[in-house]
Amino acid sequence: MCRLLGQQYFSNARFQPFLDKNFVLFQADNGESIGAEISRRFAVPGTPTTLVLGGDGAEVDWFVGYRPPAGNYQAQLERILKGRNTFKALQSAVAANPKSVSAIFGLARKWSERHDVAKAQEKYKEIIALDPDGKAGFYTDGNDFVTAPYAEYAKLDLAISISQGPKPDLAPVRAFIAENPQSLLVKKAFLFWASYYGDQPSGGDADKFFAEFEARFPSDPEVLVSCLTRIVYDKGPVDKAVELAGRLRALTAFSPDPEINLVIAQAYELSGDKAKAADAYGEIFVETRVRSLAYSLLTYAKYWVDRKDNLEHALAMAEAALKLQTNEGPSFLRSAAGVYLKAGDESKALDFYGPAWLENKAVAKNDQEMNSYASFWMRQGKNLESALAAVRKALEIRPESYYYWSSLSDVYARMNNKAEAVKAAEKALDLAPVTEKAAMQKKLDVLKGTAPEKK
Amino acid sequence: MKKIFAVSLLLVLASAARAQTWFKGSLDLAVAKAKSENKLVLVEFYSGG
Repeated sequence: MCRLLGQQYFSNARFQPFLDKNFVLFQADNGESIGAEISRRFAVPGTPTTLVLGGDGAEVDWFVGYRPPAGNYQAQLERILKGRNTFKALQSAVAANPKSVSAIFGLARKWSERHDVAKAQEKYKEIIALDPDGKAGFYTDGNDFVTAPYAEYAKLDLAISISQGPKPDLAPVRAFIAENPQSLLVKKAFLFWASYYGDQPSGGDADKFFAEFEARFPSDPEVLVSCLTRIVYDKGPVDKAVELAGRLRALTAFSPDPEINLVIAQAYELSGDKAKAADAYGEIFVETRVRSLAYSLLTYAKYWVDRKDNLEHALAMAEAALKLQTNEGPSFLRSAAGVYLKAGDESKALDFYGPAWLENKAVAKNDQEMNSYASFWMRQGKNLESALAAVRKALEIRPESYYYWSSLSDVYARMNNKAEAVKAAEKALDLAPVTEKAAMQKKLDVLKGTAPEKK
Repeated sequence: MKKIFAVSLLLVLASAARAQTWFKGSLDLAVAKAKSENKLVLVEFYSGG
């Protein structure tokens, strides 16, 4: 079996009930006679390929390759079980309506994925003939979310498939660009062209192409990366490399991408500017990305835990965040603890943000951090003894803080120790600045049961 | 309590390690089995190297 697919999907206990319920599993090694026979019978283009057959032995659907994570593979199988956009469903749709452009397009893409160029081209030509003006609906690409008429996609896909023949010929792609200058697919056409010229010797047509590409999309990071990669590969021109690197940094500053910064660093290296290269792709850059990823994972976990959905994965990502940020401060730990508590795993929250954390002398804590710890657990109504210890420690450091006395009062109140809660609240009122006196008085009144009734 | 935990852990490990069952026999027999069980056949075509 494909090693990665086997490890990540077929050996994963999480997916086994689903597989057991819905499929008879059959393996075919293309190096063995059974694999060779199946390859011939179904014209399988390469490995790994997943074929799904019905009880009549006919193809229901297929997909080629494996793109981690395993959830991608599972989603494909679920789609097939639901009969969504399968080869079989598309064939039925075309049988019911031979002029269904969307279904014919779906079939064309299926054949294209299976590298059956002749069948794919036949379908693309059918679409162009049925809908020359592109009025029969739109298709949105699942990778880059570009939406364009089916007919435009058919024209470009047809042009690319002709260009990729035994003798590469860019004329059909060039013609597509010339005939559809306003199409949102022009960039895709250029990117295909770039993949061709990227392998060609520098000078001449390749240089002209990349100059035109950049001039056409001067603010598109994907295009600029393509152009800069070529310059780095050619080791020049250096001035152009530095100019493009600067532009790319500005365009991606909002959300820097390590893959892009790698090319930027290579560009600065070309110019001999090691400091700028390190600034773009050095330790600080990567540490910042790691930190950002850890917070993003926690935000993701919180999003799903709040919705009581996708819990297993949400907690796996919270765990990953904790592993990434072993030295992060208490506010990070508090956020993570909040996720686990919301998911009902108090013990896990206490593992990394409980009494052991509070007592760990190797982790330096100031009075504010101890008070925040106390307030956090007070709000949860859990781990109250440790919360009490924390706020007392905070008060040892700053006994004049009315705020900490107020926290102490809150913790005692949560512990149903009214007498101590009142005493602490009185102290808080005594120490509070003028602007906070009213709030502290109100708290005291509530504790004593003498607060005026709300009107 | 420790015993219950140990048994649970063994069950979890056994579950995690359980390999998927692949049909032994011809593709036609796999198709017939799928038909009788109202399932689909998932053919994983791979290179064993």
